[in-house]
Amino acid sequence: MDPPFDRPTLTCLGESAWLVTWGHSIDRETFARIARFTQTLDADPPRGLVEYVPAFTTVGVYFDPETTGADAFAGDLERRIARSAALFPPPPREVRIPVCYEDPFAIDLAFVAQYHGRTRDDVVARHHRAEYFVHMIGFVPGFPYLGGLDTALATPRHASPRLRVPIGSVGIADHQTGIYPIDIPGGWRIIGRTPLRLFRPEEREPALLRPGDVVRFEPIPASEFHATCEYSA
Amino acid sequence: MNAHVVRAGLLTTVQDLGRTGNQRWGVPVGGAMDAASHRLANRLVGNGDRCATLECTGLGPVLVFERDALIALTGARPAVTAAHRAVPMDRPILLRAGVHLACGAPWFGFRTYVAVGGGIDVPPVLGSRSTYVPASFGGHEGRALRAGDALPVGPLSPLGASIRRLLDRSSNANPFEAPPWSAAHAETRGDRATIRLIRGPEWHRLTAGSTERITAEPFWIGPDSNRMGCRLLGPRLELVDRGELISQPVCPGTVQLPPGGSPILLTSDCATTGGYPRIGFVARVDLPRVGRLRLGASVRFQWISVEEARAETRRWEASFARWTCCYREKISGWRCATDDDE
Repeated sequence: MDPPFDRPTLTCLGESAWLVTWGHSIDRETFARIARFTQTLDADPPRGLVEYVPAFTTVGVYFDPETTGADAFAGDLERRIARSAALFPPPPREVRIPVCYEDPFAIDLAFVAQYHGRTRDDVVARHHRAEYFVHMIGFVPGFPYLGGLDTALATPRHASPRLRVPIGSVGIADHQTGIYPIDIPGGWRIIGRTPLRLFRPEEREPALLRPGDVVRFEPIPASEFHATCEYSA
Repeated sequence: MNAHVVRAGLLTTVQDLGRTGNQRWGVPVGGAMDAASHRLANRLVGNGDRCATLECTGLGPVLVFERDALIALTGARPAVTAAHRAVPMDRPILLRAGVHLACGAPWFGFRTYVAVGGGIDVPPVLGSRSTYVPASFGGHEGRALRAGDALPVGPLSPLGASIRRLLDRSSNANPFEAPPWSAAHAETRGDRATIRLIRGPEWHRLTAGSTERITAEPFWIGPDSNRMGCRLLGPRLELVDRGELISQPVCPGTVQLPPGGSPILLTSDCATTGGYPRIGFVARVDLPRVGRLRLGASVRFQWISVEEARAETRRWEASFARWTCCYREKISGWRCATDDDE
C-alpha cells in the first residue's frame, strides 16, 4: 500500500520527465493541490518546460534535456511546488451539457435500470440531477473523467468492450461517468448522447472541458439533439 | 507542386516529429515511429527535422510528382523502382516529373520514410502535420492515404536547391538521378533488437523472478501491435501485488504491465494517461529501433540507468550532427568536383 500522503514527491519518468505525486486518492483536495501547482507552472514556466499533464493524483512534467539538466529542472519544480501552496485556485467554470437519454442513443439504459432494479426514468433523473466535477482529461483527446455519480448508478463495464462507441456517447463505468469525444472501442455502459463536440482540434484549446469544471447534464428530446448536433452522426 | 498517390500501400501516413503542449487535453504526441529515419530522410533533401515525411508501413505506395522532385528513402528496405529501374536508398534522388515511384514490401525492417524536398505541406493541426487516425485529424484529412490523393509539397530549402542543381546536371532522359554513394546513419534491422530500459515508478512491484525474466528471455512483437503500442509476447511477468493504478501520465516509450502479464510498449500514438503499472521506459535513443521492428520480431531488454540513457542520447545526437556536417561537406565537395569537370 502507498503511505499516507504527506508532501509532494518527484519520481523519474524516463529521460525527460518528472512525475509529481500530490496524493493517493481521487478527491477534491488532491485536485486543488494539482490545480495550484499547474497554475504556478503557467504563471512562471521553468526553463526547459515542454508541457505538463495533470492526472487524478499526479502531474507528469516533461522537459527538454537540451535546454535544462534533469536536476536543475527538478530544483525549479521544487521551488514552484513550495510556492503553489499559497495560491487560490480560480473559481470553477460551470458547463451545461445537453444529453438525449432516448433511443437509439441510450444503448445500455435498459440494462442499467434493470441492474439496479429501477425505472429508466429514475436512472435518467439521478444521472442528470447530480453535479459533476472534471478530475482530468485523458484516455483519448478531450475525454473527461467525471466524478460525482450517484452511487446508486454505479455499474460495471462490459466484460468485453464494444468495437465502436459512437462519438458523443455518455456512459457509466463503476463510480465514474464520462463522454466519448470520438468514435472508439469502449466498455462503458452508454445511457445517452450529447450533440456537442467535446474535441475540437481546430481550436487552440481543443477540449471543450477542462480539469476543475463543474458539469451539469440537461436532458433534451431527440428532435433537439438532431437540430443542434455539432458533428455528423 | 503536388505529389499524387497512385496506390496507397498498406498504411501510409503523413508524419513529422509529433505535437507537444496538447497532452493535457488528451492529445497524443504522435509523429514518426522511427524518428531517426524520418530525420535522416529530411536531412538528405535539405529539410529541417520538423518537415513532414510519408511513413510507409509494410507494403509501400506508388507516387508520382507533377514536377521534378528531390526525394530520399530511408528506414526499411523495400524494393523501390522508378520506371522499372531500382531506386537506391539513403541518398538524395531527383525523380523526374511523371515517373511512377513504386515502393514494394520491405524485405528488411518495417517502416520506410519518403522525404520530399520542402516537406509534405499539409496544414498543421495543433502544431504538427502528423496524422492521428483514431481521432481523424492531422496529416492528409486525418487518415491514411488513399489512391487518388494529391499532397502539396513545400518549397525547397537553399541546401535542397543546391542538392537538386547538382543532380540536375545530366540530361533528363533518365527516370531519376542519384549520386553513386549512400549516406546511411541509422541501422535498419527489423527482425530483432536489444532495447535498453530505464526503471519505471512501479518497477519495484515486479516479483524477483520477473525482474530476472525481463532481461533473460526474449519477447516477441505480438500481432495486435500498431502505432499506439507493441504487445510483447513471450515470458509472462508478475507483480507482487495485483491491482491497477489510478490513471497516471504515460508517454511513448513507457512499458506497462497489464494484469495478463504480457507487457505493452507504448509508441507514438499512445494515450496520454494509463492505469497499468509502468515497469520501465525505453531509452530515447532506442525508441526508433522499436519503430523498425516488424510483427513477430524478437526483443531483448537490458536495464540502463537514466544517467547513462541521457548520455547515450547526447552521444547519438552528437554523432548525427557530425554526420550532417560530413553530408554537407560531401555536397560541397561534390559540387567542387563537378565544377572541375566543366
